[in-house]
Amino acid sequence: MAEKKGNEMVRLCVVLFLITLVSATLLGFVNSVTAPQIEMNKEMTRAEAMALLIPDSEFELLEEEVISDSGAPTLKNIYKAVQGGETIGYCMEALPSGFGGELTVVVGILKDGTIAGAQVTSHAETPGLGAKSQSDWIDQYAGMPADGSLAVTKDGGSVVSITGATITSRAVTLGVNTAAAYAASLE
Amino acid sequence: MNIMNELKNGVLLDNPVFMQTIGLCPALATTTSLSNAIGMGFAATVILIASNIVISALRKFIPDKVRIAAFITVIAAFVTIVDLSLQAFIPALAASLGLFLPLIVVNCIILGRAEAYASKNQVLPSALDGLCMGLGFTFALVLMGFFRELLGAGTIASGIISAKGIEIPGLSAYPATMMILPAGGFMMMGFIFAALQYIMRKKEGK
Repeated sequence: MAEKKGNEMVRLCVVLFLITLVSATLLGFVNSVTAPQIEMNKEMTRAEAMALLIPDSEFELLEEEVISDSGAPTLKNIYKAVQGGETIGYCMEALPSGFGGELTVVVGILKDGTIAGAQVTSHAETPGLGAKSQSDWIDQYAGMPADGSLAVTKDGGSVVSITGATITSRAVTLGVNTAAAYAASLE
Repeated sequence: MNIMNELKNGVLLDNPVFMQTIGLCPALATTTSLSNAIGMGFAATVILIASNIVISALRKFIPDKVRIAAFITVIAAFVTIVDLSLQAFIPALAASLGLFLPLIVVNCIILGRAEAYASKNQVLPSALDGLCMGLGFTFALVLMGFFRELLGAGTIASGIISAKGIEIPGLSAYPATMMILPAGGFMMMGFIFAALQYIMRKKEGK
């Protein structure tokens, strides 16, 4: 009887091991096929957003990632926008936390101290509410001062929040502010 | 095995959401618009068919004591494959489904069908069961997504026909936003449950 029980244990383990082994091998294979494509998709979205914010410029990568120690959102992929040999502004991704998780906001900042614009390229916000941050709502940031002082109207600023999605609006604003402050430090 | 019968069962008489009341969480969470509902329904159907086939094929090989662990591993593998493939090849859909895609792993319809049907039946009927239950799930999501989007955003099929879909005059300017919030999801589900029960009882009474 004892031996039988031991045998059964071995069988359980072997079967489970085989199933996980096959699954893991399959996943490894799928990942190796899709990972480059996923990375390319991300880069394409970023490049499209940057070209929209500061058109007709060449982008030079300055910094891959800047992690703030004071709790401000992480900045990624900081680019310098160059037009005819002259730096006219900066583009970068800010990753503030929204209502449903991290948002990716591509922010363009011009050398003259104004914001060229912002684009939300990925988010997990509520459809119909926070997801409206991907609509033309975001256009209002263009032309605002890039001194890190922006705030939504509820907090006494001039950014008009999305109705029912103040948290998302605050997150985007924080992302824009962080990017603006970093861009100012680059000059 | 009658295909039409199975289909009728899966979609109407034995509909996973409306009749068996399982898989309610994704049915509430992903039905804020018709396009999300279709995307979620399609992804869940593909995974349901694939996991039913594999689990049915392995049913004699998997010992009873570890069957749930084995089922979940198989399901999780398929979910990850679909998730990665969507991110790579249909990034727009992957972005709109977001977190709900990986959460298909814990969708109780899929584990439920594996346990109740695929682990006791042959491969072909299991695949058919997966298809019918998947279509039933999709049907439920589409019904909820359509009405929630219509009332909550005032549009029909936004993101499918065009970015904004068909805007209903008057309603799209002042939509009942609550319908696309979680509370509206529960309300819509209640309305549809009630309507279906009413129709079913009327039919029985005749």
